[in-house]
Amino acid sequence: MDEHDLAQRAAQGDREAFGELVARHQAGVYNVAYRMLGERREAEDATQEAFLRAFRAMHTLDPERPPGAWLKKIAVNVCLNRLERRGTLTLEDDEALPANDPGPESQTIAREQNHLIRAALLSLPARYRAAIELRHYQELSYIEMAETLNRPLSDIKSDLFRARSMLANILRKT
Amino acid sequence: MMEHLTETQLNEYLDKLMEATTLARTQAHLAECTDCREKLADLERVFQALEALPEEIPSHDLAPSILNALPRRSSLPGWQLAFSIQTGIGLGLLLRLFPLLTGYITSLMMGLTGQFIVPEVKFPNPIDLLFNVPVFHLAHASIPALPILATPANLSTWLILGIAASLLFVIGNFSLVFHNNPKGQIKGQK
Repeated sequence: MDEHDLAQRAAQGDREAFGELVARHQAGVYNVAYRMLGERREAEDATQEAFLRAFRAMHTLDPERPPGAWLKKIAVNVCLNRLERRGTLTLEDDEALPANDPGPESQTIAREQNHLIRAALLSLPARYRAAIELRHYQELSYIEMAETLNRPLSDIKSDLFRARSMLANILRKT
Repeated sequence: MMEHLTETQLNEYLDKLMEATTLARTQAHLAECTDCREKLADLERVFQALEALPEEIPSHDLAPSILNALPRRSSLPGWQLAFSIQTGIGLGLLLRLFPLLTGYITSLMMGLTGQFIVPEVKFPNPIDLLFNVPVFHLAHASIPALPILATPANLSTWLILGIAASLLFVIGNFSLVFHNNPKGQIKGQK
């Protein structure tokens, strides 16, 4: 069954169809949450919360648009709410690189780079993280970002450019 | 050579949002300006680092816990609830007015145009309602197929209210069932 039919059936309250949407999109939604929150456990909780919100709002989903993108937008807003309720977090301990990583050198460099960029993302204010997430991972236009976050276009551009500038400074120092 | 590129220009250049003329001017400037090329390279590194970030896999399948947490029944959308209430009220009113209309139609047929027969509305005696009226109806089993039309106004008021409430209940529940399972398929709960 294609996404369009699944979304239509789920919008009419079909739990089986919604379950199929969860199965297909849980990884994508989880990654949004993990990039924004930096903790596996909390990312899983946020993923669940995003899907529950989506279930309640299924009747508002435009049937012409892919449900995956819609679900990820909901996830960004769920994460923003969570971030506003707490301060900035760093990467959790189990994400830290071991001192003597046994892998090949290239793998180690790649992991260091990944760790660095994740840590850099988590050092950004919540609004900036959302801007990076929507532009770089969900590939939204500036206008779509403004609609998703319900904020003025000028603010969105300012947040995005500032976030990139902060990330560039962090990367330059390494 | 024009002034250095602004942060906005550099970002819009990387986001490929520049119009052809602006793009050509920007490229020409970048070709000559080392400072701006360095700033652009910094931003490009950010783009590359973000793109290179691998996707993480959840530690376990999240679907079962999500499906378990779903509400068992979603609430009726507003329009269905409004439709049910309006239908119930409308049908109740129609039934309530029916005796008046039939009285008026009867009058018309009898040539008494202009006389509108309004049945007297009284609250019934509870004992009468609970005991005497059912006994009376049981004793006179030959009443018409639609007893509500033949009963006095005070009794029909109560019957109509009961019917309206029942209709509201049935329509409301039917709408809910249809909303949750539009194709009428019977499925086991997971």
